[in-house]
Amino acid sequence: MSKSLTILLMDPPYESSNTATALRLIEATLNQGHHVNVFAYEGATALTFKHQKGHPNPVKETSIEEEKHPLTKDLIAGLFQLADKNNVNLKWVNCGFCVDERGVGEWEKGPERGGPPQFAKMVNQSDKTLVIATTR
Amino acid sequence: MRIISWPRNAKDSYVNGVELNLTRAKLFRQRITRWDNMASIYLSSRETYPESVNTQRVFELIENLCNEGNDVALFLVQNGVFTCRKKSAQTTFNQLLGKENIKIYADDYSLEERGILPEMIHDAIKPTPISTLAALTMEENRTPIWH
Repeated sequence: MSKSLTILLMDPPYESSNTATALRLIEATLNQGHHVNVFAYEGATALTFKHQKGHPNPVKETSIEEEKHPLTKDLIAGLFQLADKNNVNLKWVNCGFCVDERGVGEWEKGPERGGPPQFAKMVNQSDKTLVIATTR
Repeated sequence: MRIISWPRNAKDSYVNGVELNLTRAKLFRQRITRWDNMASIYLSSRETYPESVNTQRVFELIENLCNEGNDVALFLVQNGVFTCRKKSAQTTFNQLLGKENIKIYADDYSLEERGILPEMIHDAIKPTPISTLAALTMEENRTPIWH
Protein backbone atom coordinates (compact mmCIF):
# COMPACT_ATOMS: atom_id res chain seq x y z
CA MET A 1 0.00 0.00 0.00
CA SER A 2 1.32 3.41 -0.95
CA LYS A 3 2.20 5.81 1.81
CA SER A 4 3.44 9.36 1.56
CA LEU A 5 6.61 11.06 2.69
CA THR A 6 7.08 14.80 3.02
CA ILE A 7 10.61 16.18 2.92
CA LEU A 8 11.66 19.73 3.70
CA LEU A 9 14.85 20.84 1.95
CA MET A 10 16.78 24.02 2.68
CA ASP A 11 20.22 23.67 1.10
CA PRO A 12 20.99 25.43 -2.21
CA PRO A 13 22.47 23.46 -5.11
CA TYR A 14 26.17 22.53 -5.04
CA GLU A 15 26.43 23.45 -1.36
CA SER A 16 25.93 20.34 0.69
CA SER A 17 25.81 16.56 0.51
CA ASN A 18 22.35 16.86 2.02
CA THR A 19 20.97 17.54 -1.45
CA ALA A 20 22.42 14.39 -2.98
CA THR A 21 21.21 12.28 -0.06
CA ALA A 22 17.74 13.79 -0.25
CA LEU A 23 17.46 13.16 -3.99
CA ARG A 24 18.67 9.58 -3.54
CA LEU A 25 16.13 9.02 -0.77
CA ILE A 26 13.34 10.48 -2.90
CA GLU A 27 14.31 8.18 -5.77
CA ALA A 28 14.35 5.13 -3.50
CA THR A 29 11.01 6.06 -1.95
CA LEU A 30 9.38 6.54 -5.35
CA ASN A 31 10.81 3.19 -6.45
CA GLN A 32 9.11 1.55 -3.46
CA GLY A 33 5.75 2.83 -4.63
CA HIS A 34 5.27 5.68 -2.20
CA HIS A 35 4.22 9.26 -2.89
CA VAL A 36 6.67 12.03 -2.09
CA ASN A 37 6.10 15.70 -1.29
CA VAL A 38 9.00 18.12 -1.28
CA PHE A 39 8.87 21.58 0.15
CA ALA A 40 11.91 23.56 -1.03
CA TYR A 41 12.71 26.37 1.32
CA GLU A 42 15.35 29.09 1.29
CA GLY A 43 18.28 28.14 -0.97
CA ALA A 44 16.70 24.86 -2.01
CA THR A 45 14.32 26.80 -4.24
CA ALA A 46 17.23 27.18 -6.68
CA LEU A 47 17.44 23.42 -7.17
CA THR A 48 14.88 23.57 -9.99
CA PHE A 49 15.99 26.85 -11.62
CA LYS A 50 15.78 26.20 -15.34
CA HIS A 51 18.71 28.41 -16.37
CA GLN A 52 21.29 26.20 -14.66
CA LYS A 53 24.11 25.39 -17.07
CA GLY A 54 26.96 22.96 -17.07
CA HIS A 55 30.50 24.11 -17.56
CA PRO A 56 33.79 22.85 -18.97
CA ASN A 57 36.66 22.00 -16.65
CA PRO A 58 39.83 23.87 -17.64
CA VAL A 59 41.91 21.92 -15.14
CA LYS A 60 41.01 18.60 -16.72
CA GLU A 61 40.69 20.22 -20.16
CA THR A 62 37.24 18.74 -20.63
CA SER A 63 34.44 20.32 -22.61
CA ILE A 64 30.90 20.85 -21.36
CA GLU A 65 29.86 17.61 -23.05
CA GLU A 66 32.77 15.64 -21.62
CA GLU A 67 32.33 17.05 -18.13
CA LYS A 68 28.64 16.05 -17.97
CA HIS A 69 28.18 18.36 -15.04
CA PRO A 70 25.19 17.12 -13.05
CA LEU A 71 22.52 19.78 -12.79
CA THR A 72 19.99 19.53 -9.99
CA LYS A 73 17.17 20.72 -12.27
CA ASP A 74 17.84 17.70 -14.51
CA LEU A 75 18.09 15.28 -11.59
CA ILE A 76 14.75 16.53 -10.29
CA ALA A 77 13.19 16.33 -13.77
CA GLY A 78 14.31 12.70 -13.75
CA LEU A 79 12.50 12.15 -10.45
CA PHE A 80 9.29 13.48 -11.97
CA GLN A 81 9.70 11.04 -14.86
CA LEU A 82 10.31 8.22 -12.38
CA ALA A 83 7.16 9.11 -10.46
CA ASP A 84 5.14 9.00 -13.67
CA LYS A 85 6.65 5.67 -14.60
CA ASN A 86 5.85 4.20 -11.17
CA ASN A 87 2.35 5.73 -11.07
CA VAL A 88 3.04 7.61 -7.86
CA ASN A 89 2.93 11.30 -7.12
CA LEU A 90 5.86 13.65 -6.70
CA LYS A 91 4.78 17.06 -5.55
CA TRP A 92 7.50 19.70 -5.46
CA VAL A 93 6.65 23.09 -3.99
CA ASN A 94 9.09 26.00 -4.03
CA CYS A 95 8.56 28.65 -1.36
CA GLY A 96 7.41 31.75 -3.24
CA PHE A 97 9.10 34.33 -1.04
CA CYS A 98 12.38 32.43 -1.21
CA VAL A 99 12.05 32.14 -5.00
CA ASP A 100 11.48 35.87 -5.40
CA GLU A 101 14.35 36.81 -3.10
CA ARG A 102 16.72 34.71 -5.19
CA GLY A 103 15.23 35.37 -8.63
CA VAL A 104 14.92 31.66 -9.35
CA GLY A 105 11.24 31.56 -10.25
CA GLU A 106 11.62 29.90 -13.63
CA TRP A 107 11.49 26.13 -13.85
CA GLU A 108 10.44 23.37 -16.16
CA LYS A 109 7.20 21.42 -15.84
CA GLY A 110 6.72 19.79 -12.46
CA PRO A 111 7.53 22.11 -9.55
CA GLU A 112 5.00 24.66 -8.38
CA ARG A 113 5.01 27.81 -6.31
CA GLY A 114 3.66 27.80 -2.79
CA GLY A 115 4.37 28.72 0.77
CA PRO A 116 4.33 27.49 4.34
CA PRO A 117 0.56 26.76 4.19
CA GLN A 118 1.29 24.17 1.48
CA PHE A 119 3.96 22.67 3.68
CA ALA A 120 1.49 22.49 6.56
CA LYS A 121 -0.99 20.73 4.28
CA MET A 122 1.67 18.27 3.11
CA VAL A 123 2.65 17.44 6.68
CA ASN A 124 -0.94 16.97 7.75
CA GLN A 125 -1.72 14.70 4.81
CA SER A 126 1.44 12.58 4.78
CA ASP A 127 2.45 9.55 6.79
CA LYS A 128 5.99 10.71 7.50
CA THR A 129 7.89 13.98 7.55
CA LEU A 130 11.64 14.40 7.32
CA VAL A 131 13.18 17.80 7.82
CA ILE A 132 16.67 18.16 6.39
CA ALA A 133 17.78 21.47 7.79
CA THR A 134 20.72 23.48 6.52
CA THR A 135 23.95 22.59 8.27
CA ARG A 136 25.56 25.64 9.84
CA MET B 1 20.97 17.95 18.42
CA ARG B 2 19.28 19.69 15.57
CA ILE B 3 15.61 18.90 15.31
CA ILE B 4 13.67 21.59 13.59
CA SER B 5 11.32 23.44 15.87
CA TRP B 6 11.58 20.79 18.53
CA PRO B 7 9.37 21.97 21.39
CA ARG B 8 10.64 22.34 24.92
CA ASN B 9 7.55 20.39 25.87
CA ALA B 10 4.34 19.23 24.26
CA LYS B 11 2.38 22.15 25.66
CA ASP B 12 4.43 24.71 23.71
CA SER B 13 2.29 24.28 20.61
CA TYR B 14 -0.96 24.93 22.47
CA VAL B 15 -2.39 27.96 24.22
CA ASN B 16 -5.61 27.32 26.09
CA GLY B 17 -5.98 24.14 24.08
CA VAL B 18 -5.70 25.94 20.72
CA GLU B 19 -2.96 24.98 18.33
CA LEU B 20 -0.73 27.95 17.61
CA ASN B 21 0.84 26.60 14.48
CA LEU B 22 -0.59 23.65 12.59
CA THR B 23 2.63 22.69 10.91
CA ARG B 24 4.65 22.70 14.07
CA ALA B 25 1.90 21.00 15.98
CA LYS B 26 1.68 18.20 13.42
CA LEU B 27 5.42 17.73 13.44
CA PHE B 28 5.37 17.55 17.20
CA ARG B 29 2.46 15.15 17.26
CA GLN B 30 4.14 12.81 14.80
CA ARG B 31 6.92 12.46 17.32
CA ILE B 32 5.26 12.88 20.67
CA THR B 33 2.32 10.59 20.07
CA ARG B 34 4.75 7.89 19.06
CA TRP B 35 7.00 8.43 22.02
CA ASP B 36 5.29 5.60 23.87
CA ASN B 37 6.86 2.90 21.76
CA MET B 38 9.51 5.20 20.30
CA ALA B 39 10.58 3.42 17.19
CA SER B 40 12.79 6.02 15.63
CA ILE B 41 15.41 6.28 12.97
CA TYR B 42 18.18 8.78 13.40
CA LEU B 43 20.07 9.86 10.34
CA SER B 44 23.51 10.95 11.39
CA SER B 45 25.13 12.96 8.61
CA ARG B 46 28.04 14.58 10.38
CA GLU B 47 31.37 13.50 11.72
CA THR B 48 31.67 13.72 15.47
CA TYR B 49 34.77 15.87 15.67
CA PRO B 50 35.26 18.59 14.68
CA GLU B 51 32.24 18.83 12.42
CA SER B 52 29.57 18.53 15.04
CA VAL B 53 29.99 17.92 18.73
CA ASN B 54 26.21 17.76 18.80
CA THR B 55 26.52 14.34 17.21
CA GLN B 56 27.94 13.20 20.54
CA ARG B 57 24.69 14.33 22.15
CA VAL B 58 22.68 12.39 19.57
CA PHE B 59 24.58 9.23 20.43
CA GLU B 60 23.99 9.86 24.13
CA LEU B 61 20.28 10.34 23.46
CA ILE B 62 20.15 7.13 21.46
CA GLU B 63 21.97 5.28 24.23
CA ASN B 64 19.42 6.54 26.76
CA LEU B 65 16.54 5.54 24.50
CA CYS B 66 18.01 2.06 24.16
CA ASN B 67 18.53 1.77 27.89
CA GLU B 68 14.84 2.55 28.36
CA GLY B 69 13.89 -0.29 26.04
CA ASN B 70 13.07 1.68 22.90
CA ASP B 71 13.72 0.43 19.40
CA VAL B 72 16.14 2.68 17.55
CA ALA B 73 17.68 2.52 14.11
CA LEU B 74 20.71 4.65 13.33
CA PHE B 75 21.52 5.25 9.67
CA LEU B 76 24.93 6.80 9.14
CA VAL B 77 25.17 8.86 5.98
CA GLN B 78 27.53 11.43 4.45
CA ASN B 79 30.32 12.30 6.90
CA GLY B 80 28.44 10.36 9.55
CA VAL B 81 29.99 7.16 8.18
CA PHE B 82 33.43 8.15 9.47
CA THR B 83 32.16 7.22 12.90
CA CYS B 84 31.68 3.54 12.13
CA ARG B 85 35.34 2.89 11.31
CA LYS B 86 37.05 0.47 13.65
CA LYS B 87 39.74 3.10 14.20
CA SER B 88 37.26 5.73 15.29
CA ALA B 89 37.69 6.62 18.94
CA GLN B 90 34.07 7.61 19.39
CA THR B 91 33.44 5.84 22.68
CA THR B 92 29.73 6.62 22.99
CA PHE B 93 29.11 5.29 19.51
CA ASN B 94 31.14 2.18 20.28
CA GLN B 95 28.95 1.57 23.32
CA LEU B 96 25.90 1.56 21.05
CA LEU B 97 27.32 -1.40 19.17
CA GLY B 98 26.64 -3.67 22.13
CA LYS B 99 22.98 -2.73 22.52
CA GLU B 100 20.33 -5.27 21.57
CA ASN B 101 17.58 -2.85 20.57
CA ILE B 102 19.52 -0.76 18.09
CA LYS B 103 20.29 -1.47 14.48
CA ILE B 104 23.06 0.55 12.88
CA TYR B 105 23.42 0.98 9.14
CA ALA B 106 26.05 2.76 7.05
CA ASP B 107 25.19 4.21 3.66
CA ASP B 108 27.17 2.29 1.01
CA TYR B 109 27.39 5.31 -1.31
CA SER B 110 28.81 7.54 1.44
CA LEU B 111 31.34 4.85 2.40
CA GLU B 112 32.53 4.47 -1.18
CA GLU B 113 32.78 8.23 -1.71
CA ARG B 114 35.11 8.46 1.27
CA GLY B 115 37.19 5.41 0.47
CA ILE B 116 36.02 3.51 3.52
CA LEU B 117 36.16 -0.18 2.69
CA PRO B 118 33.81 -2.73 4.31
CA GLU B 119 36.68 -4.28 6.25
CA MET B 120 37.44 -0.89 7.82
CA ILE B 121 34.10 -0.67 9.61
CA HIS B 122 32.83 -2.50 12.66
CA ASP B 123 31.74 -6.08 12.00
CA ALA B 124 28.25 -5.39 13.32
CA ILE B 125 27.66 -2.78 10.61
CA LYS B 126 27.17 -3.60 6.96
CA PRO B 127 27.23 -1.21 4.00
CA THR B 128 23.57 -0.57 3.29
CA PRO B 129 21.79 0.79 0.20
CA ILE B 130 19.59 3.84 0.60
CA SER B 131 16.58 1.74 -0.35
CA THR B 132 16.83 0.30 3.18
CA LEU B 133 16.61 3.82 4.58
CA ALA B 134 13.52 4.45 2.45
CA ALA B 135 11.90 1.28 3.77
CA LEU B 136 12.80 2.09 7.38
CA THR B 137 11.48 5.62 7.02
CA MET B 138 8.10 4.37 5.85
CA GLU B 139 7.77 1.70 8.56
CA GLU B 140 4.72 2.02 10.75
CA ASN B 141 5.37 3.85 14.02
CA ARG B 142 8.90 4.83 13.04
CA THR B 143 9.80 8.50 13.18
CA PRO B 144 12.66 9.78 11.01
CA ILE B 145 14.90 12.42 12.54
CA TRP B 146 17.75 14.04 10.65
CA HIS B 147 20.90 15.31 12.24
